[in-house]
Amino acid sequence: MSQAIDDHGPRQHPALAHHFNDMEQQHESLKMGLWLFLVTELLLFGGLFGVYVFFRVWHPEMFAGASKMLNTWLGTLNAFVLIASSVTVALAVRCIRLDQPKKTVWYLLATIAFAGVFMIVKYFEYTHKFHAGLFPGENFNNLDFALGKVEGVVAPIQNPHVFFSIYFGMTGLHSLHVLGGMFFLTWAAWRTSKGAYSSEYYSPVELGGLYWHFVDLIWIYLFPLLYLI
Amino acid sequence: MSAHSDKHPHVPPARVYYGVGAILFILTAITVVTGKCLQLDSMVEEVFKLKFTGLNLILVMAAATIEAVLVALFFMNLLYDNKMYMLIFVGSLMFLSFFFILTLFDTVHRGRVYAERDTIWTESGIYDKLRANPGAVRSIHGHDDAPGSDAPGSDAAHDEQDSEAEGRDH
Amino acid sequence: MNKLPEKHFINSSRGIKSWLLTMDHKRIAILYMIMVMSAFYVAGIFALIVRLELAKPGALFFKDTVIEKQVDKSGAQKGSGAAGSTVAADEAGTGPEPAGAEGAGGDETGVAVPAAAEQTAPDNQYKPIDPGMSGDDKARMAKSQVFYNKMFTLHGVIMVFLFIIPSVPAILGNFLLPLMIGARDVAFPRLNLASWYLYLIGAAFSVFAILHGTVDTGWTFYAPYSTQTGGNATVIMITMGVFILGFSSIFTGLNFAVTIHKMRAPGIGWFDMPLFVWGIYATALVQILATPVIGITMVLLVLERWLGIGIFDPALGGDPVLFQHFFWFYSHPAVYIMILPGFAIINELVTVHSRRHIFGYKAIAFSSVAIAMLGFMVWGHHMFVSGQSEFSSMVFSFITVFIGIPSGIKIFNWVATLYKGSIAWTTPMLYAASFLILFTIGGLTGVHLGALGTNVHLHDTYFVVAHFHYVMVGGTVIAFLGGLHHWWPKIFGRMYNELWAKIACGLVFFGFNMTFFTQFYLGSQGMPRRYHDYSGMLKTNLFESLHGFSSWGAMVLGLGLLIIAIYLIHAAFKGEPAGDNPWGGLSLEWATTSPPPTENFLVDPEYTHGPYDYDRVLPEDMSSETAGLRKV
Repeated sequence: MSQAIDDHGPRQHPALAHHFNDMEQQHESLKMGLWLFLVTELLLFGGLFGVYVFFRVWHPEMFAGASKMLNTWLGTLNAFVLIASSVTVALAVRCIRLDQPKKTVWYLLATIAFAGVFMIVKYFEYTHKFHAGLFPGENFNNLDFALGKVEGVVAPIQNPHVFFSIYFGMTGLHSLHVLGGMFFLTWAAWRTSKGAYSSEYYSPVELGGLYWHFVDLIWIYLFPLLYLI
Repeated sequence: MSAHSDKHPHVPPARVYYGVGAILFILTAITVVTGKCLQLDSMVEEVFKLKFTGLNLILVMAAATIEAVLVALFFMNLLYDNKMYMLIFVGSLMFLSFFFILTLFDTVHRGRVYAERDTIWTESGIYDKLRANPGAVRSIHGHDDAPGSDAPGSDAAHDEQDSEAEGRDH
Repeated sequence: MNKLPEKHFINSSRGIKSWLLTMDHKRIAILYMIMVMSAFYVAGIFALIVRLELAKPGALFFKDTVIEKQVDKSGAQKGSGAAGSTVAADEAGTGPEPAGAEGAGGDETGVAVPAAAEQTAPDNQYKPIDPGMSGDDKARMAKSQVFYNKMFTLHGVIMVFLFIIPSVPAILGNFLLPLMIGARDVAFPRLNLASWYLYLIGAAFSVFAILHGTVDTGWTFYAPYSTQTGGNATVIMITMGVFILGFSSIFTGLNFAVTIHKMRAPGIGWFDMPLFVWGIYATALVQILATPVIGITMVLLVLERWLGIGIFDPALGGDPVLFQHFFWFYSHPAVYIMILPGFAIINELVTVHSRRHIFGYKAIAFSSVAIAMLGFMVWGHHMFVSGQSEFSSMVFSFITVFIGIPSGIKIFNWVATLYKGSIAWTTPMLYAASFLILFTIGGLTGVHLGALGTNVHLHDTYFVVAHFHYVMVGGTVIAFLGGLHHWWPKIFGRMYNELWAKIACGLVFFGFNMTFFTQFYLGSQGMPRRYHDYSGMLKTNLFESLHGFSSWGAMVLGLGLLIIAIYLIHAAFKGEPAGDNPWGGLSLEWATTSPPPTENFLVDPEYTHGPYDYDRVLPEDMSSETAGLRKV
């Protein structure tokens, strides 16, 4: 690879890979690659959204009843936290494009902190569910529905465990993505603090931001679908 | 090479991000309130004397969609960026909708024709004939249990057919 | 006398490490070639074992004394999917055979029944399961059947996931795509190498799972089988293997799509690319859009098996047919992942070897994309007898017919390209001609299967097996072999022996037709697929003669493929140097040395002429020194 034809011009950026002509081509390629990756992520989640839609059309009463067991206020808190993190990461990308790496690092750290809050809230939600025996599928071990003890649910509902399979499947996959995003943004923040990025080369920050917005987008739909309706 | 050769693409001012963030907060609050506290269907019926169902669902999903569009356009920069990315994103949503719609064609209509066939057969009295002559069962129930085990008679087969039809009709 | 260039990508650096850590798309293509071709020949051996078993009625492998005992006990009850319930369920039709085919009719209730067998055998002659049989008999009967199931599962899984899906894109696409658009490499070289390693890991997972354990789910992993039969660990392992292979495929597709969008050399517009690139582009789109869905399906399956989440299990309120929707939403587009690259190759073969401008460039380009798009809307035709609603069956059958339009456009355009061309009957051209014949047969029989009424009759018979082998082998594999022969001198810089190549091509063509044309007849007469034994059926005599002929054909086909392997490997090391442009092609890959240098071109290429401008450019003017036309 070292004997690359040297036609990148006199002042080529050290981050420019040998097979690209200029920084712009590299940046645009990376961005398009990330968008296509987001498409695959969307279809990955799409399968789970599909499960949700098909089962909801079959058993709307089961969804309405079982969702009463979720804590709306914690879900709302998480929605606000994720939106806030989306704002900060957007500002981080803006700052690095304006050559303000210091501010970028702070905004990225704020984003990671918000993500941490999200994960902590999720942890409490999950442990609460587990204590109540609200496991997915056949491990479901909660008699409240059968005994009619759930507030607002008049008739006993069938197969509430399917709702919790979907709930844990969707939020679980989403949480994994939050964790992945946290790691990537941490790396990006570290590299930014080392001065690796500037307005000439900021692809990793922008890609991390795009990915993070996508994670936020998924939650924007997950939250009302699971908690509210 | 790429269609987009602007060296310094548009960098929006910070207040755009704060503004969009504020709108997102408000919309989320609206969805929570509608989802949790309001019964839009009955409210509309009281006030306007119009009967609707699922207004809550529609309002909540509309608010979520507006939020998603705002995030995509401003935070993900689709508004200012190469339109190719918007095409990619919207196109993938289109394919996802193929998946949903075509599968719903199955799950929603499951059992409809089977149920009708069963009615037709019941009315035609074919099951009575079959009860009289159990040996002929398999000629109709092409997908029956293992041959030989269906010998006990057509009653079981008939019941199975019924329950199958109902079971499919979710 | 041609000479190899002094410095090229093969000898630019030495040592195993320089290969295993390479970022060069050409070397990665060769790494893929080694793995994928090994998979092809191994899976071919499994296919021969399957054909041997079927050559005569009765079990051939591990038959012990079981057959005689059965005859004593209950007449002609020798098999036909009769062993333990899991085996019977598997053979009833949901599963392993390769290539997407209209594979499968699992029953909604999970009780799968060999329906076709019932139709062909009167009651007094054929009894699938004798509940009174002793456990010992069952065990030994199961041995031959389980062996057979394992063999065709191995054949199916390896051919589909390890050979056909990565074959053309990962080998020829990887090698040629950057060359054809004048780029130095694919957009993400590191991702390219990573996808090869993912392929290795996924392959190890899935093959180990089948060899080690009892995976009798078939390559389709339909829900009642995959959640209940076989061993927990092995089924989870193979689904994870498929998950990983899926990501390998996604990364390849993503890489290619970005490369085509962003890396074209100056002056090369969308309609100045060779049509091979369009075909690979359409494939990449399908890989990106469809493969994630199989990923999430496999995850759900693992969760179902592991935690019993109840999405696919009716006992827990789930729905097994939903699994089939999920599976085929990927796997039908995957059929186009397999065939579109085949189309892509044929574009190049028919033009270069007949010296003609391609007829209807844009029509072919857009028909590739149209096939890719339409392919997402027809998956339900695999499920006509699965218990999905009749309404959706009708919709899917209706949409399926439309796939014929873009496919027909391509065939007609290729024939029109050849018309009045100066056809040179080189080996690649022979393969292209074989492709036109075989794919037309495969495509037209697809119309029979896409039509709802005939499908119910032909479902899960050998007609289906013959159909998808005509499309997958007669289409993709023949095109792939043609492509290998076309670009072998470019890849290794050396020419193979044309006489042997033509002999082998003839053997492959005739062997293939012997093997699979008979199977159309077998299927239409009611021979069900996935049965290890067909004795005791109403038409056993007819089936015996047809199966026997088919098995002989398989031997001829195998011989042809063996010869190909021998002379191609020989040519790669010892063949005559071929020269930069042995066929007189005009696309950019012929404007560099054979083998190309690591940086692909000696100078940066510029767009001077279209890839098919045989009416205005002489191939002799192509020069590797200018990476384009020789300057006058």
